[in-house]
Amino acid sequence: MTEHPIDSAIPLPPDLAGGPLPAGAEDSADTPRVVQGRFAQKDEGYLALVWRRFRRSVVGMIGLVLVLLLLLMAIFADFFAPMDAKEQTISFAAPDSFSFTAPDGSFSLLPTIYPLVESDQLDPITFQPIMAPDLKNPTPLGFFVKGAPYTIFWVIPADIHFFGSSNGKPVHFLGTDKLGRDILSRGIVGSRISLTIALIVVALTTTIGTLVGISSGYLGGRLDTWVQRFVEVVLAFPQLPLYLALTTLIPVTAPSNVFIAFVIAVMAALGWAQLSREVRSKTLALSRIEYVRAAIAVGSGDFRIIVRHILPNVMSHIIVAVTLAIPTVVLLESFLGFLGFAVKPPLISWGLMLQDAGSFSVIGSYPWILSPVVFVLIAVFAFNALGDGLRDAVDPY
Amino acid sequence: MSTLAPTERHDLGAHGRSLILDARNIAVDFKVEGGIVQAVRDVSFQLHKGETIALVGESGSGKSVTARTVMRLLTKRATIAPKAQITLDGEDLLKKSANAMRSLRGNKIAMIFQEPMSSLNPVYTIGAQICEVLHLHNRMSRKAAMERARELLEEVQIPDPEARLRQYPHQMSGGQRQRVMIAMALANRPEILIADEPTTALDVTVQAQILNLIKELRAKYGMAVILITHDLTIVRQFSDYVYVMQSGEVKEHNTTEALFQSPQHPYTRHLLASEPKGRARPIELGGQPVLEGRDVRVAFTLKRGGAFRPDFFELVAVDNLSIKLQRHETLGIVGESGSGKTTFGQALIRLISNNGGQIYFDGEPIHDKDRHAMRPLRQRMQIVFQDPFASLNPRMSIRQIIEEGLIVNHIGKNERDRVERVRQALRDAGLPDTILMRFPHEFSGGQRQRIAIARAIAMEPEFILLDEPTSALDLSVQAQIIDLLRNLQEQKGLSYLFISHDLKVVRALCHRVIVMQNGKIVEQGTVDEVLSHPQTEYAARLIRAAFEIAA
Amino acid sequence: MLRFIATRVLYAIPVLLILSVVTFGIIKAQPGDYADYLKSMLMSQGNVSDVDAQKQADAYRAAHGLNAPLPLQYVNWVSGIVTRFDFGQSFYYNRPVGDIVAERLPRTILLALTCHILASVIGITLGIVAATRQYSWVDTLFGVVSFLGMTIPRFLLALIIIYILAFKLNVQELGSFNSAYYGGQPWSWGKFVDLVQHVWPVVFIATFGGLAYNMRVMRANLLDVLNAQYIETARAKGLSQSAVILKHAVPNALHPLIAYQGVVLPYMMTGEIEVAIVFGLATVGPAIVSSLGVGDVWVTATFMLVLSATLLVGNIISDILLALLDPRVRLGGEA
Repeated sequence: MTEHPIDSAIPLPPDLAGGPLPAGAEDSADTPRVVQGRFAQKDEGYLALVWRRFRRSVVGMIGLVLVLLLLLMAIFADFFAPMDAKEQTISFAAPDSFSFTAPDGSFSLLPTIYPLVESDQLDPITFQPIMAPDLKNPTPLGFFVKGAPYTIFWVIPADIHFFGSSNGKPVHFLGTDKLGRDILSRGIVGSRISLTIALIVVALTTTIGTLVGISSGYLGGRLDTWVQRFVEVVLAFPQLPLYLALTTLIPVTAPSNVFIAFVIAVMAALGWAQLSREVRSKTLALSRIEYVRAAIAVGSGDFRIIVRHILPNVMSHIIVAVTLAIPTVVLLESFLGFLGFAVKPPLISWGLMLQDAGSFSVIGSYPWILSPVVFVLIAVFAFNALGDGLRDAVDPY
Repeated sequence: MSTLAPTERHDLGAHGRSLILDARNIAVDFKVEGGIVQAVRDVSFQLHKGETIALVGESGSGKSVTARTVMRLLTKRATIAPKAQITLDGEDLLKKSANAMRSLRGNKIAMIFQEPMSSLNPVYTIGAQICEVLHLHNRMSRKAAMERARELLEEVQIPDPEARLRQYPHQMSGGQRQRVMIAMALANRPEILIADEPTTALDVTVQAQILNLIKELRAKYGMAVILITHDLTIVRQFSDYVYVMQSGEVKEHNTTEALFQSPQHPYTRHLLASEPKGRARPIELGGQPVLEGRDVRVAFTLKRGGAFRPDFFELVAVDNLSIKLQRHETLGIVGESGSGKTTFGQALIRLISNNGGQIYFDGEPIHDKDRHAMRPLRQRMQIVFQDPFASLNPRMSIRQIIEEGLIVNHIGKNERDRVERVRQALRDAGLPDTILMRFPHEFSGGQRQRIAIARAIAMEPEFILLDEPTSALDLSVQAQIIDLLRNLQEQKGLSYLFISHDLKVVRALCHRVIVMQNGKIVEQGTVDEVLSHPQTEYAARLIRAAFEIAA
Repeated sequence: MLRFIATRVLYAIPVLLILSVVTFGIIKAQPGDYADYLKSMLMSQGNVSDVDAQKQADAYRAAHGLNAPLPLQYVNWVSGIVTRFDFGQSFYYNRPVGDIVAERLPRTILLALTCHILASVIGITLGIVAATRQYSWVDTLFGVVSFLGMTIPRFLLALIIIYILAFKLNVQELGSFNSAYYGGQPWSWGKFVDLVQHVWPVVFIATFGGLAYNMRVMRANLLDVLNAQYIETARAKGLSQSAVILKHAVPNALHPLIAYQGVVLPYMMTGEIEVAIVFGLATVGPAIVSSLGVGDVWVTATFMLVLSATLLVGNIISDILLALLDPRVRLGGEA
């Protein structure tokens, strides 16, 4: 079991010397159930153990990869977007058609894009030119193409895009919106705001929830009772209607930053309550556990106990809750946007993009206007998957 | 297969009674994450009508798995080796169909388990659960079944059986629940009863009652009993033939007297030698008591009666008790569950507050000090808890765990000094001093308890409260810890307050002993006095139950 | 038992009061009120001049007590509720709010209840199946389904379904409970079928999310319970595996689920509201949204209050259910 021979005066009980114990019908209740694989080995610190267990979860790993890609994409959004998010071309253009066969008939992995242009035919009813793919002039695609200029971190100017058309012509993989702006590029750029809002809101709710939960659970007494009553009141609010009401408070003419701050504050106002409850119940259980009492017996002060004993053991639960809360906020932001309460231009968020999709007629005629939900879906899926994998991996000992 | 444990028992042909169960070459593998575990390697035993055989071993020996193999109660992850054979009445149990086995369970073979607190389904009444096993194997009307259930409850000596039928398990004590389990098991007059550590979780007086009850009923109905236990005293008193198991094999088997008189196998000898032995080293008493309590009282307000009719009442856990602990002395506080001994001990070191009385530590009153005022004194009084798994923070390394007290009390000049003290404490506790960077989960229960002891002595206290430190440990490990504690006391001049329910350990370690019941002190005196000449009825009963398992 | 209910109810009342104050404050904090909406309507659609519109708006304000200090408005409203069951007047619909509530609330509750029951029953059943076939393909499949159910945003699903129905299948009358034919008729089997035809997307979407949740929790609980000692006892008595699971394991696994209703209920409510808003059904959610847009204060405030009350009642009911089902809670311990 361990490399260093422990003093021979202590014969190792046979269960550990021989190997793992059966997980089925077991013997007396005090047997340490150290089964290899599930539990830690050797010198494994907690983080290494969590990582090892996490790696075995397929869903979790997929989620992790996706989340990392998403974050990468959000940070370097301009680099990844094929076009400038503000450039306007044809309004409500359908997505460019593409095929995997090059004009000369050969198969290429890089699809050939046929841009939509006004064709020669007229719509029989409206006498407007029908948009059709221009089969004669495919737009060449490439990686690391020169495109619209942008700045990295608002400082370094650059104009290389990860993927896009190599001749400067517009390419719309997901079509354009009402003002002719490329939806794919807007979606990529919009991830910045949406994810930022989500991360900040979750950071706030987690901090508040944890603080409230731990102090309430640890200190107990009258403080606990009154805080719990307050939490119950907060939890009794029907959340969605309240968010709606609160968002209407946001003055329409406020500058963007104030607006974002307001949205963040609104979402954080209710979200901390559930977490505080869960943290509190964990804290209550931990306050009674022997190693905390041993720390008291040794003379540790409250602060030390909370920080060194309680917090680390609650942290696993908090991390899972954080990961699973992010999609909730992203969803909320997009739903509110869909309803008409979103950030204002020049900011772009997924919610704002969905605002255009608010009427059925638009959806019916231009279904691609809904494609921002794909972004939302991917983000929600990614974080949920990550959270699922984490939840299994951070199980307490 | 060693010659000390042949497949057939020594008295196989010569036994007075008829053979009822013949188990040969049982081997069970479990599939776990990471591989296969051989829980049972090669076990054979024979059981005759009307006798009790015991399967004895420590944790990990495979005794419980063996028992469940007889009933075929194993999980899907278990594979029984093909060459295993268990013959009951001429038929191989391992080859029977699932349906056939089901009709045997609860009918011809019955089993009772270790944890009475969780062995009964909390949402059904006692009557419903007993009737279930009756209806399963007999055609009976509901009325007849209830009547029979009542008779069964009477047979296991539960008072007021009529009312009990309508009660739920959580309304009964552990001992009563175990009686109900026995009633359920015996409902269909089985030929074989398997009892898996039936009394480990019970108080010692209740233990005696339950075991004697099983003995009576066995005699009355001519059952055969397979008794699984780790307690040698139980084996000695209640079984006719013994199988000693370790690591999935039978190491030795013999009739009880023969085994206890002349154990052959080293493991058997090691087990028998692990009974707590020795006595506390004699000391001279006098001087100021290290810890003194006068008229200490601790009371809790509890709720009874459930959600719809809440009923608050006051439970007096410690009822105006006085106690004096001298320097270098080990004072034992003995009692069964609910006696208040743990509450008393923790109140004395002010881990919980008391509602009355005075407490003095080395002459200084501490009963009115709040937590902040107690901190400077904490270094001088330490505690070791019962549960070795919950008393060490799984996220902290061994060094951090032991060093915490040093840091908080500003002991040690600098970091190097502190680390040296940690190492010394580990060595004193019998552990190598190279384990600083390891984590608690890498150690067994006994080793963890040593770490907890190291944590306590690193502070160089004058007094340690030991709250059932050996109850959760295997017998052989227990013996080591007792030795360690004795040596430490001698070396460092410690005073111990030793709380326990196990009189054998108390006899080995303590100078004086206090017997508690229901929050009151029932008897006190030196260990010799109390254990050989108890003055009160309760103490006498306790001692009889502990040492002879006589009810 | 009565005392239990009474304490819970008494406890809920101050909560409701606080909630009403807060919602009222938030709604009133909105810049502008209905009179402003009226003014803009008059100007844009009635071609009234700015000055005249303002005069009319002010007159309206005075007539409907919108000028009174806020606390007074609140007190009037609350006392109206408590004494006369008068929830105020809706400016937009020009009807007593009470009428609107009576119209929409039963539908919301019925819808939410149906979805809740369906989600519970189906979810629990699937959870039992998944737990008993742990690690089999059935379990994995259900795991995927539950993951999808909890991940896919409900309003998105609603949008997709609307798209398919409206533009691909040419279904009319998406936003109503019954078609025009059955609208005013008394209840009959035909009307019921018609109702289901109209309402199934909403029920499906809301149920899908809740079902996934219930299934997960039930599966986890059941797996925990199956490790308990009393399960082994039941098997040792000779019970068949299915009897062990259904009679002994499931009742014990249900308890945490019932206790969890406090979390599930708001979730179901939110889902139902989301979907109803997308579909434009005549229920509570859309009413709140539309009244918020125009400043129809009493409607918003009342509906919020009503929703909160529903949640609180739901919690009380789940507390009672838990006590009834678990003898440990009902009877307390004696030992």
